[in-house]
Amino acid sequence: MHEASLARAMLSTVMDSLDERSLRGQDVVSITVRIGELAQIDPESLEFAFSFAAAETELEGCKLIFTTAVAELLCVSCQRLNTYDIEHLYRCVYCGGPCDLISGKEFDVISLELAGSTVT
Amino acid sequence: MSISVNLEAQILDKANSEAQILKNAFASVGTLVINVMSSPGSGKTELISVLSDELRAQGSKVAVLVGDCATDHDAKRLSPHVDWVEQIQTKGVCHLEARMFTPYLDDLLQLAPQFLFIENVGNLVCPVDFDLGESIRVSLLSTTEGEDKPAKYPDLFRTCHITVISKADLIEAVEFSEHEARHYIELVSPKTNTIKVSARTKEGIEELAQAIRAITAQTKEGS
Repeated sequence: MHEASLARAMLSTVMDSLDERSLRGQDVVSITVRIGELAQIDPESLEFAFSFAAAETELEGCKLIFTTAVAELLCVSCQRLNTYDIEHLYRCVYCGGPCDLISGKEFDVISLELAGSTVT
Repeated sequence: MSISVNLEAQILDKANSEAQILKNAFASVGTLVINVMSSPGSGKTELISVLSDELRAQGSKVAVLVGDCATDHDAKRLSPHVDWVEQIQTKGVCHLEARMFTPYLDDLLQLAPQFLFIENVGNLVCPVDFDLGESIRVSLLSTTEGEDKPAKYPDLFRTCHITVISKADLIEAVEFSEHEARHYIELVSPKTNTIKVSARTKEGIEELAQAIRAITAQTKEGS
């Protein structure tokens, strides 16, 4: 359900970026989005929510391309890098120490693809 | 022929900057903001009521913003226990967002309570990623929910400074294992402070109030 809020935030981020680059009004073909493994975002739900958020804007009908960012944890005790697994969760697989999450919560717009070649 | 434009923009930047504005505003009047999150029915409202009684008895002013999909029942329940309360009815939205606080900001800054509790919509998933300008996050794990909730919803418990094991008076009745619950809490949130509380018997309430005051002191030192 919170994908509706995320879709609205995504629309606003893209619109602001187009404004900043004076690209507003260009036909956007696709948006590439990075979603962290632990971001709790379901791409399919986001796509569905975005289709409503973007209705009657220049982003209506544009395609979403998703890439995944792997979750990595750094052990506070032994400083070793861990990948996330559901057995150990936020405990270090090597020493059992507590870990800080250093990636895996991403929700970023990486790039846009625009139709035509009028802009350099 | 199409062209590609690199953006590398964090999508929740704008929402987070709204939260940062709130955080600065509340800090400027000396208000500590506490975001309380848990499943529906785990005892948030009752806990905040009893905790507010304790904090007010020690001379603090307490305000609450409470979110639910519908009704103002919780605001009515909280009203006798706090200095100020407003109900946000989200009409189905599953979490609170910083932008929803705008209508109440002037009132709150004028009141300048020592503590502002934000009782989030009962939900263990969606509230996690929405910063509300809080300095402390508190999660509740009620004894009636089962010991392994933190393992099932690790993200919420991971982000909390304090985890409250609520409804401690029911431990025997529901055969709840505190040991097992603490194991799961420590697995997902190794640095959290876990406090066992019963709003009914008042067990742990003073300890919880002290833990919150300790974080208040740290926050002031840090600023």
